[in-house]
Amino acid sequence: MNKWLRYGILALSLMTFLVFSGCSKASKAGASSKTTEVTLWVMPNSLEPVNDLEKVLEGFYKTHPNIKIKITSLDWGAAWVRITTAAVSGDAPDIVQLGTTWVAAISSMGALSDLTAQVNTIGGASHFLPSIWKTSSIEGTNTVTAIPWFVDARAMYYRTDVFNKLGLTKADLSTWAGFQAALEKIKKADLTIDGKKVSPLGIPGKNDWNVVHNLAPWIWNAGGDFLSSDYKKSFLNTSETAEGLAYYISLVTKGFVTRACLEKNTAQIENDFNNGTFAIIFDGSNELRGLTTSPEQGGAADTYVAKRFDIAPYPQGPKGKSTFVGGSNLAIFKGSKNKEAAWEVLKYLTSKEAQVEYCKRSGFMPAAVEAFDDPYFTEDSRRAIYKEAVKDGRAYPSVPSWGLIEPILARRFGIMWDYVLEAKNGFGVVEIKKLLALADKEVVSILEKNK
Amino acid sequence: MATIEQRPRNYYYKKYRIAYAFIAPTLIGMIIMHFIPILQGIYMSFLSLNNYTLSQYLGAPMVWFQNYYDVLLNPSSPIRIGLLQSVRNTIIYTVLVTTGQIGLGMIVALMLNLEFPGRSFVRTLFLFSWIVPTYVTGILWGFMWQQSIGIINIILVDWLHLLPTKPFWLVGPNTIWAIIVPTIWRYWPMSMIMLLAGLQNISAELYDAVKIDGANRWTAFWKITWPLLRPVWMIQVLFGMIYNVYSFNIVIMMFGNGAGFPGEWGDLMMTNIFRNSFMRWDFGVGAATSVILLMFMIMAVNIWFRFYKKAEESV
Repeated sequence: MNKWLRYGILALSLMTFLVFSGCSKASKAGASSKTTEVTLWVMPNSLEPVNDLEKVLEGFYKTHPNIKIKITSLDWGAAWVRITTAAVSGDAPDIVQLGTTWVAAISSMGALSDLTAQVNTIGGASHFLPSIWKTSSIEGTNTVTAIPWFVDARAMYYRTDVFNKLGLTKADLSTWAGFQAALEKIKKADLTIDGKKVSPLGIPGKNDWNVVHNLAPWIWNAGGDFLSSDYKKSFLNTSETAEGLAYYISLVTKGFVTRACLEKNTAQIENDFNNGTFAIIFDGSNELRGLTTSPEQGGAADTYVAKRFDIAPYPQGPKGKSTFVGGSNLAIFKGSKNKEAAWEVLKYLTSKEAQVEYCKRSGFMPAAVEAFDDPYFTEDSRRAIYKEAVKDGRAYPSVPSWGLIEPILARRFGIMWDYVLEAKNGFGVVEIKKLLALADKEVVSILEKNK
Repeated sequence: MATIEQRPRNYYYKKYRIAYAFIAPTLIGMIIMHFIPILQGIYMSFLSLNNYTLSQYLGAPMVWFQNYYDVLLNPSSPIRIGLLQSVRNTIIYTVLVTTGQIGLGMIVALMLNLEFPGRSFVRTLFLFSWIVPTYVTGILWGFMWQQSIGIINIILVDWLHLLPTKPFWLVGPNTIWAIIVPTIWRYWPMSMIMLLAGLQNISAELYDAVKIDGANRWTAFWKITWPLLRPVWMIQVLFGMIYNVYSFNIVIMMFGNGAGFPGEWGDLMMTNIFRNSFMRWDFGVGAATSVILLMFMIMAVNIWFRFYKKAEESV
């Protein structure tokens, strides 16, 4: 029995030690200084997400020596689950980065602080680009819960050497008809440059985050949409949406896009373009950063293509020339104990200085209007294209049900590429209408359930 | 009986207290890690737990069997989108992977049971695929299956000329093979090592006896090896069934690291439940689907256990 008693005392003293050592650490931290530690969760927006942001924050530390920022980088794949779990459990950081399409869903849970009053002190809506400002609150409400941080817009990258060789110009890419004629010409030419066979166009297929984003501009520019203007009904089963989708699919069925592309994701298509496989791709502004950054810094500025490319806006469709605009916002969790310090961080990150610096490092476009005046965005004509694209940009509706609809659409339009690949006799209007009817039924079931 | 009655009430406790002490951490662990989450999952399956009610968590409105109705009987419910395809895929995947890993494991175990120089080296070498984490397996095979530059098509078409053109593995119906093959590759060494241990327990005299009776190696395998290894491969069947029905990592990592949709021929029950629970935020329905799957698994394990009992009795 003595033996057991001895073990008991040992265990008890060990526990006491652990408890007190924990307490002493806490009291030390509390007594050391008045430094406020603000926790910040971000996604990998650049090659070195934490370091790059730390560099941007150097200016902040100079004016706010009492605020320390602890940055945690979450993988995009895990972020949605981590953030929603944090929202439910309350075990959340002070500040969180949210993809623009997530804002409405997370706001509807009541997990985010109301930033309306604070954002007015920096100019409110006028401080940000109108297209991205729409994502700062739930559509139809005036409660700002997540302020825009940076913008991800798409544009067209084309090879100037291919275009010069075939007598094509940027103007040829301005409309759908011109764009198709240019692709036809490139396909017929069957060029091999720098030892690489050049196929006309590269688009990612189904194994990608961007399945819906890639389709959106084509659907919008044909006059179609995903939801009706009041966001209460599906707008998928319409002739305009079918027209946009048909045009996009025809780029594959007409042989402008190799079928091997359909199993690739954006990063792989980007990489193939950099290595000379495609004459044209559609991509975000971070690709421009990649092609103008040295290999030592993780870029592809040394490639053959990096010295021979230009950027053009999306070709104009029958009903418009919108590009997809996404990006990320910053929000403060309701449960944060450091709301004032957190707001100071947000205010700094949306200031001109920080916006320009972060865009230089991440390759994204700024959300604050005044940042576009910086020479970084005006001196390079290719970056200026994005400046215009962002103005014409369109974001998904900021409604809570969008977060639920997007995975359903990603699934349906992902399967679409399976069907396109398997189709022996092409993938025509009948098949597209059938596909859209199915997508429509699925979106309606979500809308019904979330009435 | 009489002697037991005479013993003090805490006799067994005193006699086996060390055993109890050793079991206790596992028991506490099981309660915390398994039983409480299972009970919570069952409770969640009766709740309307979606993006509007998520902040209330377990206090979300109770809808009783509505979620089960949505999964099993309501054709217009969002959960039903692609559900039958994932059920079909999970059955095909489980049967083929389990058979494949036991079959391959058995062939290699028989080979390694022979005496030859370097046997232990080869045995260690064969265990390598088992060391690779499942999510790494998913990413690596995702590269290997690529149509134009993937090593598999290069071997099949360019080197061996087994196929006239390079097929697509990650798009279309071939997707099912793209998930089955890596899973067999990942798990077969486990079957092999257990079967090999079983083989080494079979007495050589039995083989000598059937040899005298004129049986060849094939007959000897089916009459001696296979029946005597029954307890080993039946345990493998159970493990395979459970692991493969709940398989997730390889599939989710192979198709865009969770970004993409695996396709009509690649979506399994777990990826389906994940999509509905964590991406479409319908945790109530997700929990109900999980509970239904759990019921099926309990039934399947029960049936397996009857066979296993029979097998044990016959041995």
